[in-house]
Amino acid sequence: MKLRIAVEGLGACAGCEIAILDLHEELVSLLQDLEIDYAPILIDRKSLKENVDVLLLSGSVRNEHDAEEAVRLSEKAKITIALGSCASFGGIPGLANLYATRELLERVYLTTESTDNKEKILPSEEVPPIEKIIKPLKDWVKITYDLPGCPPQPKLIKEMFQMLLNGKPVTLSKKTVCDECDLKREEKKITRILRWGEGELESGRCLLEQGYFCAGPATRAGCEAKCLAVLMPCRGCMGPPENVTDQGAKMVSAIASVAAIDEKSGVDPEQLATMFKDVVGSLYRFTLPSSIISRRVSEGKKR
Amino acid sequence: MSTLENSWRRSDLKSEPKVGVYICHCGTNIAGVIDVEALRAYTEGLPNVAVAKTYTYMCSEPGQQLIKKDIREKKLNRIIVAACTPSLHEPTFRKVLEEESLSPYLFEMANIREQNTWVHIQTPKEALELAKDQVRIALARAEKLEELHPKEVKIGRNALIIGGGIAGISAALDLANAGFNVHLIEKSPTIGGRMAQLDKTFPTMDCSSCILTPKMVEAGRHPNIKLITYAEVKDVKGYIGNFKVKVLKKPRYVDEKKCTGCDECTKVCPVEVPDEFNAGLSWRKAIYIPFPQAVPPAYVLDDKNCLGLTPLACAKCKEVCEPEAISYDQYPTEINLDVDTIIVASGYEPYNPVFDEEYNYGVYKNVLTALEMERMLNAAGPTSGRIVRPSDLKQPKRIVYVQCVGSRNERRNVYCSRICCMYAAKQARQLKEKHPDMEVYVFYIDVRAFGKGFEEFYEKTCREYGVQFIRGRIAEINEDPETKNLAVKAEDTLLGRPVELEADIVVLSVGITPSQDTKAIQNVLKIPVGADGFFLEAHPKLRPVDTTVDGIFVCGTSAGPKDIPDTVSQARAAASGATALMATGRYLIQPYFATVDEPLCGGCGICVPLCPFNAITLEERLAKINEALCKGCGVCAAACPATAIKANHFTNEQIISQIESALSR
Amino acid sequence: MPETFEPYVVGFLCNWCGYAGADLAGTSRIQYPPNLRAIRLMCSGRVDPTFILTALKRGADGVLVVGCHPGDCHYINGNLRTERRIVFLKKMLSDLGLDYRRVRLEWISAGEGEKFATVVKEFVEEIRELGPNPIEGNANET
Repeated sequence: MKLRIAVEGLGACAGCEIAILDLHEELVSLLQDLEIDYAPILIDRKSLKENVDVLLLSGSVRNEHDAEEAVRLSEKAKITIALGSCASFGGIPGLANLYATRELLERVYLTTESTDNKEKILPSEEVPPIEKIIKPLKDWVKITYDLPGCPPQPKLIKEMFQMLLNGKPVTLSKKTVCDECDLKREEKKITRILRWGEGELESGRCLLEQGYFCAGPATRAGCEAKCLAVLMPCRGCMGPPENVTDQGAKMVSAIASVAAIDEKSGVDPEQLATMFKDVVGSLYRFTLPSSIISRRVSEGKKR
Repeated sequence: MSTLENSWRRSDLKSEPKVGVYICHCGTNIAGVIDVEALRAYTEGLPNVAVAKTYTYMCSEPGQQLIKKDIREKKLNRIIVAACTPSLHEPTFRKVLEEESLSPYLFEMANIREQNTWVHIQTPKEALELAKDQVRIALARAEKLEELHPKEVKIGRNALIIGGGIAGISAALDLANAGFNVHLIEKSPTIGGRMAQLDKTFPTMDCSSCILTPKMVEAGRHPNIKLITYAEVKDVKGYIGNFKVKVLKKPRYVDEKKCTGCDECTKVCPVEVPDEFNAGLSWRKAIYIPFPQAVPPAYVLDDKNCLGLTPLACAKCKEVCEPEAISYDQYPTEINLDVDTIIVASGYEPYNPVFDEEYNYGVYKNVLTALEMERMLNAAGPTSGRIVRPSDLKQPKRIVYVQCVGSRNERRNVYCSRICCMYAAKQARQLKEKHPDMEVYVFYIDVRAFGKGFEEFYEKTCREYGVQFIRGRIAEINEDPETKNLAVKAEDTLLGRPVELEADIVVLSVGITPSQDTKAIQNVLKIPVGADGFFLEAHPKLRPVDTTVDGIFVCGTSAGPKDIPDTVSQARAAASGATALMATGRYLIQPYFATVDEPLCGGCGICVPLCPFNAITLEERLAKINEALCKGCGVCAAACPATAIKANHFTNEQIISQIESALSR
Repeated sequence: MPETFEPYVVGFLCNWCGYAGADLAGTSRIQYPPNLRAIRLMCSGRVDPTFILTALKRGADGVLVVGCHPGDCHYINGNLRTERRIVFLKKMLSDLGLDYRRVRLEWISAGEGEKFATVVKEFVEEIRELGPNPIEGNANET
């Protein structure tokens, strides 16, 4: 009996679907035991007719249609897996939680530089209403497993399929990206915070120690630190490590604890904090909706 | 102490938490503000609470028995006492649990007195609500508490003492006489320290050398004391019972065992440098003995001032040395020691007034520090005990003392140096003894004559010896370019009028400052230094010779200004502390240490530089924590980006449960 | 007439200084408002930003962290670690729309009972001015 799979992208970019294709030849052998019943972009079938064993949902729930689809489709599957960082944590679209809905709509439909909308119309007929905030998929439907990554590593997708075929739970690495990174660690003392492109990049040495913000220490392993292998700092797309709920809080703690650690270094911690330009965007690039605070709030409501 | 490991029952923890909550009336301290019965009733309704009782005084014997009975009969496995602060009675109640074979770490207190009823007297309703929250918070934590076991460490019988002054010597003798092995390390070529430079000591007017040298000799030849002089401690690793010490010994170029002290070498040495022992007032040769009674009784060749050893420039001293004690073929040697306890007795430095422009020390020849005057007074000093003016070597007729130089001063050191009032009185008396006609004035802010016999000494110095104490600060000192006399302007604040004097010598009563070695030793031992620069004791009242590092003690002037009796008291106290550790042979470390959950650790290394006690190392991509070094501060656990470090007894789960419970009303 | 809002403040006090200072305020019977719920830690350096965020998420109107004065930390420099974390955390909280004054770091020694009471009084008043925690029940307006 083949394992019946359905794949759907909600507020998605299709990167997760392409990641499945990136299994290349390995997909061919997996397809001996998998039957993909419904997967827009990959398969030309217009709707899901019968129930499946596994539903892979990618993308964020951005509008009411996404929410309805998520509920409708997961009712047709024995288990639902959140595929990719958007589904697992909210992903990059989650950063929209920093803005009020009105601000988002006005920017998209009124104030973007190439938009010509003199009547200042905000569409409401063909376009499904926007959800007020992005929440991770697990807040909408029952999610059995997360397979994070932006996009998820094809290797991890393959392992997921293999675990499912063997009736085993889908497990992820308990380690952090630092475990898979080959850059040399000398001493964790941060005396400056640089933006990508600033300063002199030294190959072979830990990027965080050089002053580049790297989310590796607070990011789950599994990606084989491919970004670090080409000296790109980790952006945290695999989400928080096993024991961590809020990725940003831990990264703040880690960096701040070793920032200007040598009182003699003459670096002022307040100064270092101002060097760090986009704190929320860097710390919660993929995980804002699943973090503790999860969105921007407004002060000033007096009861 | 009982062997705790074996006596605790573990079976209770496998079952659900069964909590006993005991609310103390504390007489009317608590019951007079909140309705303890209402608190009890509320508690009874909380989940997992098997017993909720109140009692007038929980810390009393019947109160404790109440808990013990319930543990036995109701098989309780968590105990909460809502009463005073844990700082007061946590140990009391922990013992109660231990006596019923329950782990003392399954106990929690709710501070409903110091942090509730005593500070919210006017708002009893809110105080009751707060007490309910406090009990609920304690309950949430108690449910997550774990049975922890203190770690036992073996302690041997070897002590290291850093510093060979009167403090180091006193501590060494006490330990050696008790049968322990002592390594006494001293930076200079001889032990004796500052006390050897003193002439007489207040208030007994004992000759300092006479009371010091017998102790020096005793220390030098005690079978249990190994003296390592001209040496410094360079590195210390490890922990109590297991210190690994690296000592670097400088080459003396003289064999300590062969040197007879005949002094022939100094006669032929062509180099003359200022003599540190005589406070720079006389000369010594490059090969020298610091003072005749030095221990070890050997000469030393100062290779910094010698004309040259590689290549040999002079070599005259070796030629005349009959016992053939001199050898230029010596090098710095590294000595490795394994010790169990360490006592720091590294001493002080006198304040250097060279930057105090108002006194012109170093510019005007006749302005001296008290140490320089002390050497002048000494019969073995630079002038054989004659008092002379440095400018013309004539006998002075009028000497003025300036008190509090470098002390009690916002721009210099804020603290009082404790010894200057007394040593000024002492020196003034000695001057009058030598020259009854001499006029001696002491300009002071306060006279601090606090010790045993001090007040009487001071009074007698004024009345019988005629030393004049004037309360007022010196505003100006001006030197007459021809006579080199010093015109002193001051104010007599008791009489309310200005004073102008022409003095032959002005003596600056310089205070005590931390020695340069303090910073170096701090880096090596990682013991804290206070804001004033002296070593910080664990508790200023109750633990004056302990440091926060177990097994390391501190005593004498390295911990703050003090006189000889207090120095000796502290040194002997430190020896007693070290004895208490070494005599039992074992030590229990509080189990608050942190542990690494290795499957979660990615080896980022963030924790490593954070630990103030160097307890964490990175080995093959895994953080490793030395439980004996870890003090349980939790800084690493808070910083770990993978939450891979568990801070025992203050775990994330426990703290988060407390936060959630606090906000769950 | 609007009801006055009673701020709910969660405190993290270090065992050697902050907690002892609070005890001293008690022993000296110095009164202060009953708005504080204190949690004892061994060192202010144990304070993980996750704790502060959790407290704020759960509805704490203010969070007070109390440690030893720099130079006096029982564990040498744990308090400096928390100082740095809170500097960065405040920046993050501002970016998330929270008033950073809801988190306050104070150095209070074991001998400063009076200061402890004063700080609690002042902080409670400051939070009263700021208003209740905006996180719960806050939704983006359309």
